[in-house]
Amino acid sequence: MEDKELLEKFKKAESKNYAFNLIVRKYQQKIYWHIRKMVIDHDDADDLTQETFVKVWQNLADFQGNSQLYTWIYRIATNECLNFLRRKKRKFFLPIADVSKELLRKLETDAYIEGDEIAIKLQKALLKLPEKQRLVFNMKYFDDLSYEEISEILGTSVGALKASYHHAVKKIEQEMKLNL
Amino acid sequence: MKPENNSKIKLPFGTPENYFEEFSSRLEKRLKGEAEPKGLHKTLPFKVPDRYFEWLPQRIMQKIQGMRTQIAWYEKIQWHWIGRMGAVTAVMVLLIMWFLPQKDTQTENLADLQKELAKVDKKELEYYLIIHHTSSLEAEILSTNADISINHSENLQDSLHLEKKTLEEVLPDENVEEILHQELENAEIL
Repeated sequence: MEDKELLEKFKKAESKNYAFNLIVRKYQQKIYWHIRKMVIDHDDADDLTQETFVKVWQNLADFQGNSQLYTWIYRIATNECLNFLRRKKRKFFLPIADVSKELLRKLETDAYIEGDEIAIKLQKALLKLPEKQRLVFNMKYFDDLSYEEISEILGTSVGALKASYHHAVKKIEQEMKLNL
Repeated sequence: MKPENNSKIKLPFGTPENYFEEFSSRLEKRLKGEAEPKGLHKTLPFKVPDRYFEWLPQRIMQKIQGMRTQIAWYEKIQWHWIGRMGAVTAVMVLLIMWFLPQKDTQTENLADLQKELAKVDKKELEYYLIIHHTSSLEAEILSTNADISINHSENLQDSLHLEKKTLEEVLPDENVEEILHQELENAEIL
């Protein structure tokens, strides 16, 4: 079902739950994996995915349709991730490097990590990037989003995103060479 | 022409998972100048519990339902409390009003005033009221006295035989009350 149709159904009281269920089914995987790549741990990703969809439920009635539904949901998910990482820093008075260390530790200990060595190495290299660069790289490389779509989600210019992605690729290549 | 890996001649080479499926998209990106890190493939090293995505929508809906019930519960409690607090406050106010000694302060004050006024010499009171002739109540009291008939300031001025000019001259003076006393006594003698 098209997003427009889903939104119309959501606005009607009798089909609200049905439409929302379809929206969740349509976007849950994309949103979960987007979050998972940022927070690494499955339980955290599960929690944040649920929170994202709760916020979608709370605000969908006010959704103006100025952007596409999935970029709007992506934006909510991205904010949830960034707030989660910020809270982590604040809670434990950790500098960014220590948050990355904690995420690296999770990458080695989480029960839901499957051992593809190169894929784990890539994730380790990604964790050494600044959060925003990691986000841009994930959305471009793994989620195949266009720069325009990423720009809509992050509120950053296409030029800045291109530069950010380019830097990320270079750093990852260097990091991968070092760890070979 | 290069031999394919599934031909009779077996090559000792392998390719990463989904290499050929993703090849065209990688090539397209390379042509657009959107280079990707070399030697990588898009597999993520993460997995999820069995049937996780089957149950996720239901868990999200449960969370939303729970949240709605929670809000309704709070609202209900708040109304109960507001009602109870209102009733308790009303009862307390009624009890306080019931048990507090009834006091008619206004009547008491008037009675005190009358007692105090009875002690004051009538002449002195008249002087005072003439000097401080400002309110209609005072004027009314004075008008009941046959000796002094002053309904407004012009009459008073006439009865005192005061010229307006003279009055203006003495007004800034601090002893104006004494002067008025004197003038009034003179007027009575006459």
